[in-house]
Amino acid sequence: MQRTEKQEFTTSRGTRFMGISLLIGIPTLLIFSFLLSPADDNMDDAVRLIYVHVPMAIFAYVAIITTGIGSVFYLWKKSRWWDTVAHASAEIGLMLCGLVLVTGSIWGRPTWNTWWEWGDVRLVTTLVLFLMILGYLALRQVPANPDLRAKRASVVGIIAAVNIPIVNRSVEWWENNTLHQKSSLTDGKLENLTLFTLFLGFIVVGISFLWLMTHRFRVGWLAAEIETEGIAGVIEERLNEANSGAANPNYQQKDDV
Amino acid sequence: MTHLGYLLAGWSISLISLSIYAWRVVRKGKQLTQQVPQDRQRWMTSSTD
Amino acid sequence: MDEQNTQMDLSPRVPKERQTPKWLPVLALLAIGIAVVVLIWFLITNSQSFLPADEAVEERSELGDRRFQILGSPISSATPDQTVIIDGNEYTFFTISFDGVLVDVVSTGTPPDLFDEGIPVVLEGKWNQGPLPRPGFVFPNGANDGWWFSTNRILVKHDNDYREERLDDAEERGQIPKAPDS
Repeated sequence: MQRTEKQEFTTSRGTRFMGISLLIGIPTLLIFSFLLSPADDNMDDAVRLIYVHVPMAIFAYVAIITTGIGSVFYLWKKSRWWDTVAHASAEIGLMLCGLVLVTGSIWGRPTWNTWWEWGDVRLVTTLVLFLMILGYLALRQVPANPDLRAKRASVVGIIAAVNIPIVNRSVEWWENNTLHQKSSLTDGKLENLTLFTLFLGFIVVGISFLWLMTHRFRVGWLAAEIETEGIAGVIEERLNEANSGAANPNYQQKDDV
Repeated sequence: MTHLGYLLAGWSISLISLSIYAWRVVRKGKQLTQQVPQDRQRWMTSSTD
Repeated sequence: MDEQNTQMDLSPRVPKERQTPKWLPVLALLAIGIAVVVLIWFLITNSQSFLPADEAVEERSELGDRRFQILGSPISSATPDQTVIIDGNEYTFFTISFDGVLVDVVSTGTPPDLFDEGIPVVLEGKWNQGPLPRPGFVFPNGANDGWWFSTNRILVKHDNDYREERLDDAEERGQIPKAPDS
């Protein structure tokens, strides 16, 4: 790969293309969501939250499954690349999962007549998923050598990913324990501009996810390089100290003690 | 438009949160690229490649 | 081992100031711990699921005056004449249906915005028998069998149908009684 100028950002041609797509896609999605798509005959305009809530939920799943896959491959291959993928994806997954909980609560008030229900299986399993990813990210901050840290985090990452089918299928498995509706998409209960706008939402949130993932991965990779460089630097520093130790009277004094 | 307050709250919280997060990631990337020698910036692609 | 290495200073160094906040390990354990506790607590305590109206009618004697959540769909939209004020309290009278079984309901307070014909609702309350808060009231097209469900909390369980023919399908699913001409 030929570089002709100093690289100062995690930007590339690919991320720039995705960024431009988002600059066009987000206003288009807003126009379709607020102006062109119809209001629901029962839910009225509250239905317009579906175009941001559902795509974010799906890509929160995608992000956390990616963390799970990255964790499995890290444990298998011991590859820093997969660990960085898992870490980057978890951070974005946490962000999306948090926003799903918030937008869901905001949508729930006018439609279900409640902000939150503790007995609701979909809401509680989603909260558990959020806490698991929060734990995953906090665990990564616990001081440890990089391999041990990645290994610990991978175990939590896999457990969090296993939770995804439970969250997703909860509305089918415990239908009478949740106010949450079943999937409209798989049941074919969307049509015309409502369906089109939701797909547009998937595309926009999907590109946002890829854009964030690419940048966040590169940040993670650079951070790992700095950490590796730091460890190598400390070892080198100590060896230099040792090499110069022969000429250092302090070392002799210690030996005397 | 009905439920306008809920709609604005849901959409604006989502867009603003994601924008702030994106800005922080890019800013962090800018800081880190300056600390890592170019030959160790594997998985990075140049703007001119 | 060469001479240089034997002269290495292996005594513990004064640790540099930690960059990672001390509370982070605690947060990590706390988050995972809370997640597990919430999940276990939820699985243990969440035995109370919504009881469809037909099952609630069948199990009326076992349920007694226990508070539970009943699931059904209003057979008609809320109209202003369904809501009355008695002794300073606001009551709303309506009927819900599930699989063709009707349950008369007396709610304290105004139904939520989305309360509508064919949209499933979850009502939190208990069975009552005997005189209604509004003596002599007859529920239009209701069960009128002397039993009524009193509730002070109405939640809407909106279905996943966003199509124009939603109401026709609601009839097919038995969420609302079929129109006489259908």
